[in-house]
Amino acid sequence: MRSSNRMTGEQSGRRFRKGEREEGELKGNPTTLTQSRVLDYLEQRFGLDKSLFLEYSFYLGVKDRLYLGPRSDRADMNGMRVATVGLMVARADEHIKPTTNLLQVFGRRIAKSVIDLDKEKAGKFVSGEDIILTPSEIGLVSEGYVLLRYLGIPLGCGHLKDRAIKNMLPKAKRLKLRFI
Amino acid sequence: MSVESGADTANPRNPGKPTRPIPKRFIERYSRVVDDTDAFFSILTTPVPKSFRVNTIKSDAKTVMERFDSYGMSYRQMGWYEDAFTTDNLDIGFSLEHFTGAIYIQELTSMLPPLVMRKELESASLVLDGCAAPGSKTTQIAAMMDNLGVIFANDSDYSRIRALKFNLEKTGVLNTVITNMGLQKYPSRQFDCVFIDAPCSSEGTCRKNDKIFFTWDEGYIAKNAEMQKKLILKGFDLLAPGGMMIYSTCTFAPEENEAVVDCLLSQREGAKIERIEIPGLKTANGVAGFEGAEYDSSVKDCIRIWPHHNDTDGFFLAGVRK
Repeated sequence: MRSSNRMTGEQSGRRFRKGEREEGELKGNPTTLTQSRVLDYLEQRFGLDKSLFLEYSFYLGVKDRLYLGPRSDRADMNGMRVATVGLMVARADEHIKPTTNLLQVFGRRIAKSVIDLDKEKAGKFVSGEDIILTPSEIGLVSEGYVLLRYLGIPLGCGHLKDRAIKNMLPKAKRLKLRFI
Repeated sequence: MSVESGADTANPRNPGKPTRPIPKRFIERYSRVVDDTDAFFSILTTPVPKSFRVNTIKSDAKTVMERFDSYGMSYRQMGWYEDAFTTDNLDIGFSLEHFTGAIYIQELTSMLPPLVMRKELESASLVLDGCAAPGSKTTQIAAMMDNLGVIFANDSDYSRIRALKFNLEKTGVLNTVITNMGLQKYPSRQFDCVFIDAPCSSEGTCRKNDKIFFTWDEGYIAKNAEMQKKLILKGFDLLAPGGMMIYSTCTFAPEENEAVVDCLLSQREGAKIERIEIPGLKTANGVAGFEGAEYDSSVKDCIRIWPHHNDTDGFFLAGVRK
């Protein structure tokens, strides 16, 4: 992606502190190595087939944020002031951290690292609480990032360690449900 | 009905608080073009039903209806669009389906521009939503494209880009590039479909925002019309030959609707108005002229959604083929 696609705070109409960068600012497409690492991780951890992503391209943002958007050979952004592309699907620094966006969109195709919650725990998870699981709820799922589900509905991302789920839902998404 | 010089009347949205009066000049203007003045002016002071759309990127209408049945929640599916619903329950924003993005709270009239372009969207590879924020239409367009192809979702107002981004994330839209620039500066492209849901005087939304009547004036309408003419011309220029553009507003003002379309027809030879049909929804033809102005005869093929016809907001749509 060309530098003309970058957007500074001043251009975007909002004042930024010196050195601060726009959240959705894109730095271009990630390296082949990064893409392979992410695709391998999604396949090994969640059973997501690499072919699911053939119709899309990865884009790299600030702070190692990885976006999944329309194929770059079909989306000519030359001359445009781009705010962001597609969805932020992962952080890809030393470790890969998937986002709730990713797990919700592809949730029905995720075959591994899934934990099904009952109604009470699902409500707590959606409200932003961490969850303590029973051994039967954990089953054979190994420690690491997991998809939390309720009645087969993908809820979002958590991190399993010992018997606890650390809630990874972004604060803006959390909600005290009245209908579940 | 409460008019400018009349006494305060009870406000159905907030009993005890007076309804903002409908300006006399507003009544005078639209009495000339609406079919049933009593029904029209009466409904403007009643609230519009809460509505939502099923987001087919994440779910389907049958599943959502089953879930709402399990809550004992009332809903009504629209005959003219299987994914459109109304409900009496004002708490649907606290449902699991709203949290997951399986439903999107959206005005019924706002669903019309993508709906009338549905057939084109199923095969489109490049789409422009020229005035996209806060993203209701963009998310619906993406669902109709099965999250494939490319949508350029543009809005010139940076303060609205965050809402656009949030809504696209929530609904799981992958096929979109969000741009933040004046449409006039948009680089040359050939889009299969273009949407211009133009900023307008928003008269048609007065059932949920009666402040419209406090600030309403004809000078604002005239100012909007000048900007809208530039937008429709640019939108048409960005359209591929054979492509289709939907120009829409949520206002009753002919100066912002038929007159804008008339301007396009007079300035672009290749522009043709295509008759829009929405089976199951009552629509009215575009007006042939207003306050001394006469428009091209084909503007009758534009459609108006009057609030009293379907218990909705007011809306205007024009389908333009290149």
